[in-house]
Amino acid sequence: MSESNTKERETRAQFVDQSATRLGGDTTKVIRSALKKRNGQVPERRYSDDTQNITPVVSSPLLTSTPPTISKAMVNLYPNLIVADRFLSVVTWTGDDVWPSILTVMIYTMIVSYFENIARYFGHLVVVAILWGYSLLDKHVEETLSSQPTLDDIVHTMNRVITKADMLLAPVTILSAQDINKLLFTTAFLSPIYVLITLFIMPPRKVLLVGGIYLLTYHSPWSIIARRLLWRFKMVRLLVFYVTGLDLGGVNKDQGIFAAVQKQVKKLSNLNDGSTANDGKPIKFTYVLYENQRRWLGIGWTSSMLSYERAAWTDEFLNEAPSPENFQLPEENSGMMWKWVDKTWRLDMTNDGAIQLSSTRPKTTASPNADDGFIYYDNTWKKPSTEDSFSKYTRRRRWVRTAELMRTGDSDLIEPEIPLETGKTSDFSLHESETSQ
Amino acid sequence: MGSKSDQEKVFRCQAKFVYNHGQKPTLTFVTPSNLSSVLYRFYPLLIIVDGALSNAMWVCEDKCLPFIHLVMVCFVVNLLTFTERGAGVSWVSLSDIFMCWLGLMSAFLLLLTFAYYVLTIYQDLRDSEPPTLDDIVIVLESVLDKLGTMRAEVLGKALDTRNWVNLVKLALFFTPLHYALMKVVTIRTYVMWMTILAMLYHSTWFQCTLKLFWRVYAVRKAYYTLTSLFGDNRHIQRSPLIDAQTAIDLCHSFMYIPRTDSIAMLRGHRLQLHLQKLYPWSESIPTSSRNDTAQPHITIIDLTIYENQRKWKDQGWSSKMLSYEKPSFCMKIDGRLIACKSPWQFQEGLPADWMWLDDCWRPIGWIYSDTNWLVTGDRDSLESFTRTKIWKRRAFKE
Amino acid sequence: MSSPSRKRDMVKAYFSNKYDKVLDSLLVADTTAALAHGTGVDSSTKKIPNMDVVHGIASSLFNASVERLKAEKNGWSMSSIATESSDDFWKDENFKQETNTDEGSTTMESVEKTAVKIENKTREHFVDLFVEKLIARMIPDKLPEREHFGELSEEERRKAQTVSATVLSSNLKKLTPKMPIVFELQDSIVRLLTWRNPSGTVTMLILCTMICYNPMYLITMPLLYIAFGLMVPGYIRRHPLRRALYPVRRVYGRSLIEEIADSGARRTSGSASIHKYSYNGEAAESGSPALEDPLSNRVEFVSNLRDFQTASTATVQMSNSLERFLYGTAGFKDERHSTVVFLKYIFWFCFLGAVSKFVNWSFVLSAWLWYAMIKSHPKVKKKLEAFKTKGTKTTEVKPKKEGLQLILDEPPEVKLVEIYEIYKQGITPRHWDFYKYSNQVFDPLDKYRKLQQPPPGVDNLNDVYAPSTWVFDENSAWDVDWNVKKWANERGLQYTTDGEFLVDDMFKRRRLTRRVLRYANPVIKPSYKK
Repeated sequence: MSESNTKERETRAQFVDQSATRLGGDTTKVIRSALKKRNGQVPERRYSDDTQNITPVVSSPLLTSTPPTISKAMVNLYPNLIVADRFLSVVTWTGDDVWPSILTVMIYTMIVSYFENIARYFGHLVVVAILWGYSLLDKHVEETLSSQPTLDDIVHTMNRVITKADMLLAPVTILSAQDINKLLFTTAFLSPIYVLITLFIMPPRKVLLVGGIYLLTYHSPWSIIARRLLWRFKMVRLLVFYVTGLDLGGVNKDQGIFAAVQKQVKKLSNLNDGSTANDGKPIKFTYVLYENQRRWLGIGWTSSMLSYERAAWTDEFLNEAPSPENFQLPEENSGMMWKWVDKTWRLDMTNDGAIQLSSTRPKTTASPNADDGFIYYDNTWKKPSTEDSFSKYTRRRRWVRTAELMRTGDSDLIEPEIPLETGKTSDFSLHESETSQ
Repeated sequence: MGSKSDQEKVFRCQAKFVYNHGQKPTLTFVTPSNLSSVLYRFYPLLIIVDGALSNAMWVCEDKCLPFIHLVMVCFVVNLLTFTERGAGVSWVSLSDIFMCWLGLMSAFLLLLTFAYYVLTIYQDLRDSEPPTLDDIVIVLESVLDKLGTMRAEVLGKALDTRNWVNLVKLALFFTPLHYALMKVVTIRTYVMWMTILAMLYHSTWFQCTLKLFWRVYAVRKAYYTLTSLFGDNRHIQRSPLIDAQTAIDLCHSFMYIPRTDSIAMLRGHRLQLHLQKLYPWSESIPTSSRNDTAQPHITIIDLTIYENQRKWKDQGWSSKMLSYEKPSFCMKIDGRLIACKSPWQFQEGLPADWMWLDDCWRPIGWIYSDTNWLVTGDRDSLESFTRTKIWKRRAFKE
Repeated sequence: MSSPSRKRDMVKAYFSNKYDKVLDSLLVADTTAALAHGTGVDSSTKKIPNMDVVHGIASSLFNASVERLKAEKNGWSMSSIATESSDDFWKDENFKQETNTDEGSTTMESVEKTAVKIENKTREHFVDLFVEKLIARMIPDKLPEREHFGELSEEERRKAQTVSATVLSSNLKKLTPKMPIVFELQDSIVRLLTWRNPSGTVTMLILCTMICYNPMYLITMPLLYIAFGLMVPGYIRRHPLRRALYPVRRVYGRSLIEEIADSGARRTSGSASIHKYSYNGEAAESGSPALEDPLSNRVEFVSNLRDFQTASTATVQMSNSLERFLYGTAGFKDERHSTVVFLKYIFWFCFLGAVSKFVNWSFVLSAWLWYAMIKSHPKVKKKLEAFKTKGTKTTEVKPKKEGLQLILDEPPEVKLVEIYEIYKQGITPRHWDFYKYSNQVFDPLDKYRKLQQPPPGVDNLNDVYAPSTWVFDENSAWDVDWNVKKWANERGLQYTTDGEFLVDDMFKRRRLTRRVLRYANPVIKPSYKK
């Protein structure tokens, strides 16, 4: 007579994220009501408008083979890329015209010199200028979207941005962490001299002016030439050594790190025609596989999983993946191909950072024990733990293997390294092959 | 002995949230390779931009670092806004020297921090496991999201800044404030506070403070009076409350029915009944709006009164409206909203030569909208804070 | 017919009244017996014999049950006891749809629930009554009252005076979950001070510097903290800002400031939980009801105990050192040291009083803070150690410093002690034998004489000791007190005098005095150490 069995089941509807595009589709319906709103209609509620037929991106073979998330993100990024491109071309003096860069320098000089007067009379215009800048950005976003770029355009712009940014950051990335520390200590040591200079000889405003102009014109052709000329003098090199504490290329040698940097930069700017060139840097990606196992009473840990569960080998999103033996790299045909860097699949002993290892042990091994690197879960894949216990019924571990994208037909990938006295290489590679067996 | 009392809980089946980060399948496999390569080379820049933005938005995990950066920027600004000292000044106080030193060191430290950050990013990318494309895409989406948030927070909703006239008006509005401010504070204080404000603008604390201030009625009133300077597209006439006579005078859209034979002879009440039979409520009157004065005709006017209500926390729905929005009863004439009396007072003031066609005011049910009068639907829900009801009635004149 | 029922009712009422009277008389008798018993206990023996305890418990039980019976008879419903209304505080007015479904539960369950509640309440009330009666037996007097801020009404005063076991236990139950918070706060403070959270330490230093320069910040910073550190997160939890934060799997790049200030010891996460990151959102699922893991509860309980033990040991040590200061240094136990300390304090007082006007205290304080923290940074400490070991190798051990020259030559305290030389009458009235040296006069009314026992004393004058902590004056000897009349009159003794002797029938005695000296009173010890 259990009257209390009237269990009320309430069904509550799920949340729907309104910004999700249709998953798995080929079309890219992106940027929902933004365009609609800008047309000045009566402001209605913002519902995701799936009936919009305007595709901001023109279809192309690249587009159809790209997953929709990436293409949507790239399209969103495109206006920012254009702005970044323009900004970088001004700063690195690689634009078509030198006049914007010169104009920037002059405006900067004027602002710094007459800062007080400008602030006193026109300070409130800063806010207005910011708002105006943002509205210009909005308009620009709209324009670029309505011009319906192809994904190739976006890739092309991205390449230009990358080259220019690399050029801009070249003097920084050539250093190392110890150099920075050395620089810091030298500056701290010499700071009283700087203070004296600032107080008596050159007021900070002028220092800012000079420093700003130097930074803004660092990549200008005249500056490069001037630096190269000055570097020939030993006095200059000694002075730089004492001021910064860095042995920037040997006091006695002709070639220094700056020369190497300049060489690299020149090579980069020659590649500014927008080719999707690899320019010698190996591009590596990691492929990740998760091995899942379940404990059956009486049998122990096996790879047989329940029928409704994930498969024995899955990717990071719990989709079924081929096992390591059957894993094939994707086929490419557009002039690049995938090649394995690691000889075999390696086990990630830290399981993506979940397991703490002592720093002496290697992070990946090619031949692990049967129970290494597992994270244990309970029957429903919850409550992760590093230790096996009686309540843990499932476990998984992570296998990685690095693959490299290379241009087909390129046998010579690694450019000749310029040996320097300090033992640094000017190789710009973001990766060195450290996965030695 | 009776059923044992176990802990029977009523089972509530609650649906789960949907997360949209799940992607299927792994992107590295599926993306064309030149896109992968270009994204790979873009990855360090994305990380740098992401780090800089999360520092500016105070979103990073360790909130002390942006604070230290803020303090260092203050020192630098302090140094830069030193009043100029000529070379002839002999005595500088110790504190001045110390502040100068602090400013210099802060400037160096900031620059070196940025350089070190960039360096270590490249180093870490070199030393650690190569990324998967999903990592890169996540960072990309994060950067875009942050940029979008920053833009949304700066622009706000009400002011249409794309119109350059608005911007000029804004500049003119700020000018007297600025001059007054400049008389009171020094340049150094001004620049310092503007910098601090700029650096704190995108932090959650500031945005929440703005939101909490928005709850205050006085703030909203001030804001709307300000924006009304920039051209309010809603011209609302609040007083005097119009009555039927004025409404009829103002209205231009009459409907004319020629007096055909069937109704030629009818007058007064019987005419009304006949017209009601001829033109029931649900149908619109098929007429021409031309005024053929040659023929005898009947003029019919369709009066619409909008009743607005707002949902208040303690009282629920009531006719009390905010002072800057629509009045509780209004009519829309010529695209303007004019406040009027309530329908029952309205009907008293019908001029003598007009008669009501309908017996009473016909309502059209409530339409719910949110706090900015954007329509949400037909039913009351958590997001509807205002509602409108339309009262219609027709009157005719012989 | 109504009259039989009415008669029945009357009879019932009569008997119940009688019954009540009997109960009352029993109660009165019992309480008076208890009071008599309580006051009859000898004040010197504080122990209560066991039988009394049993008796006390039994009668308390009896009293409690009688009172409860009476209460029920009077129709006093137990459910009128005020329940904790704290649950109502946490109900959220925005989420009415959650609570509305609770009301839809069947009436049977609600009745059961209220019945259980009433049962619990009556049990608690019974326990309270019992404890109250028990205490009333043990300590019949009223407890010493504490001061209150305002005037309390009778009800409040009674409530404040009674010891209630249920209130105590419920308070303890509520406070024990809060203990980890205190210890975590202590942890974070220690972490800040030892540079394990480098950016936090630098921020703390910056804030302290700001406070040093403008003490008003001491008041405005808590305001800021409450507004932005407590209330804004609360607001964000209720109305999130709709900023999608993307969790990053791996953090690239380091900050130079962290590198400089890093102590090298990264703080490890205390709990054993793993940071599980996955691209799926299922990591944050909480659909199933949380299982109570008894193991983790036990761990928490034991770790609470351990933390409490550490904290109490630290408190004990701190109070010990405080006591040592209060009774040792401040009590002039070590005269030299205490004098030096006192002079130091006086010197600093005068010095600071004179100099403080001319010193920029903000700068001094903040500079000292920064210096102290930087000195305690692990890296700096290591470097300093290396430097110091290099330094001590070269210099020899310096001679011990002389310190302040102190002369401790205050005149000591002087007192006179007396002793009585008692002679017993011998065979003849003129013959007196030496009897004893005693500190008692041994007159006929003396209690030892009445008991016919010899007085306490010694036979040899050299065996007489000075009073404790006093010393005999080396330059004095035992003098006879010739003024017999004076000392006899002082003690009210009217006996015959014979020269320096006070004679009574069997004994004669004379008084010897000597000077005793003492340099200092003994140091007082804290009251519980005796």
